[in-house]
This record gives sequence, C-alpha cells and structure tokens, in this order.
Amino acid sequence: MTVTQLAEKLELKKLSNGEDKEVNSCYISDLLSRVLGGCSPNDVWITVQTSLNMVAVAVMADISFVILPEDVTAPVNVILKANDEGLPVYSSSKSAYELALLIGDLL
Amino acid sequence: MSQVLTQKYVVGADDFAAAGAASAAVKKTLKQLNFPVDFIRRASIAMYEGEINMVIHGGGGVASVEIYEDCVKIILTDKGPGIPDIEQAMQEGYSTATDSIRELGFGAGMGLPNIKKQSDDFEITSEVDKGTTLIITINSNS
Ligand SMILES: Nc1ncnc2c1ncn2[C@@H]1O[C@H](COP(=O)(O)OP(=O)(O)OP(=O)(O)O)[C@@H](O)[C@H]1O
Ligand SMILES: [Mg+2]
Repeated sequence: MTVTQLAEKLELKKLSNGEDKEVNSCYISDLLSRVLGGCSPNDVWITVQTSLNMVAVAVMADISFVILPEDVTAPVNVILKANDEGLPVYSSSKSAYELALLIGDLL
Repeated sequence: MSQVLTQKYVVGADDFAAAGAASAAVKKTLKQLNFPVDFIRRASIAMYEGEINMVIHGGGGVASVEIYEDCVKIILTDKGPGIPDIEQAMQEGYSTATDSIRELGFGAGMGLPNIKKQSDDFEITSEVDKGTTLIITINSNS
C-alpha cells in the first residue's frame, strides 16, 4: 500500500507533500536514536516529535511518511522543511495505539 | 579502491536547526552516484548520529567524507570536551544529555551503538579536554 492510499484509509490530515512511497510496516517511538536504530526502510513512523530533527531522522532512515497522533501540530518551519525534503507528514485525532491497530489491519 | 570524491563540512555547535545538514548533503551525493539504497541508508544513519553528537556534545567540528567506488569513509573530528570512558559511552542507554536536549528527542544513549551497528569498521578515539575523532567505514558490498 502507498502513502496516499494508507492516509486516505486512516482519514489523516495532510500537513506536507512528498513522495508517494510504498509503506511496509510501522514504527512508534519519540526517541530519535531509537528510531534510527530500530525502524525499517519504508516504515510509517508515528511520533509526537515535531522538531526539524524529526524531519532529518525520517529522511536519513528512509521512512515513508510520518503521522503525528492525537492532533499534535508541527511548527510551520518544520512543515516547510518536510516539503523541501519530500517527506509527507500527516496528523490524526487518533492515538498511536489506535493508529497502529488500524495500520496492522490494513498492511 | 579508487577514490571518487572527498567532501568537507564544518558542523556548528548547538545549532539544532541546521544539525544534520552535512549528512543530508552526503546522502544526496550518494544517491546521485547510484549507490545501493541499503548502503546509503547505513551511511546516512551512521553519519547523522556522529554529526548530531558533534553538535550536542562535541562543540561542533569537521566532517570529512571520502567516497570510493565500493565504500565510504566518514571522519568526524571535534575539539570538544572529549569522552572520559569510551567503553561506557558505547553502551546502549548511556547518555549525559541534558533535559533540554532530551526534549528534542535525543539522549536515548543509542547514537554510538547505532554507528557501530551500521558500520563495517568503526574507530573512536578521544582525549578529555582535547576532543573526539570518529572514523566510520561502510562498504557497499557487505
Ligand atoms: N563528540 C562527542 N564529544 C563528547 N562526548 C561525546 C561525543 N559523542 C558522544 N559523547 C558522549 O557519549 C555519550 C553517548 O553517546 P550516544 O550518541 O550513544 O548517546 P546520546 O548522544 O547521549 O543520545 P542519543 O544518541 O541516543 O540521542 C553521550 O551522552 C556523551 O556523553
Ligand atoms: Mg548521540
């Protein structure tokens, strides 16, 4: 399944545009080095981390896209950076747990 | 093992907004040179962890990247406070990061172990009050 297909099924709100990559699995953590060491390429990453470093980590680790749960918002400069890097960032009113359950069913 | 090119970047201290710029630039170059995606990912993660450590702990420094046909050698040098006990610093979970750094998502104590995991060869030398040097080698065929 691709980013846009999954985003539509999960009824996510789009914050930034990016590449419509394949999504293989899901990783959840807010500790950046945990993510760099633990995620897999083409994961969707669920995090409340909304700094510029979040974008950098997602790009370095070949994350397909980012979901900010529980209506977490990202600062404008972070959204602009995500657009620049071609990283799709979305938000959701659901919790990380609810999202993971749905993603588990869909992938 | 013929060398393709060398890149040099100055990495500023405590500049979290720009942190990772050198790693991002190297990732773009490796993509343009058509290296395998898995190799690029390993090099990117290892270099980013080292670059961030220079920003957070090392007072900034210099990243020198040598790209060869079949490998990349990343040399990160800072003149920061140094690491008193490298064995301890290499342990998963060990971190001296402050609360304000932790709020940014760093400080899991996983950076150095990640570099070791992603690299084919990893040398770290450090002297207290003098600085730290990392030499990270990643082969494209491993
Ligand atoms: N360049 C450096 N100069 C001085 N000390 C360093 C340097 N790099 C690492 N250290 C020390 O080694 C410790 C462990 O580094 P490591 O990268 O594994 O974890 P961290 O940076 O604290 O957290 P994380 O990387 O998970 O965000 C650091 O907390 C710091 O005390
Ligand atoms: Mg670190």
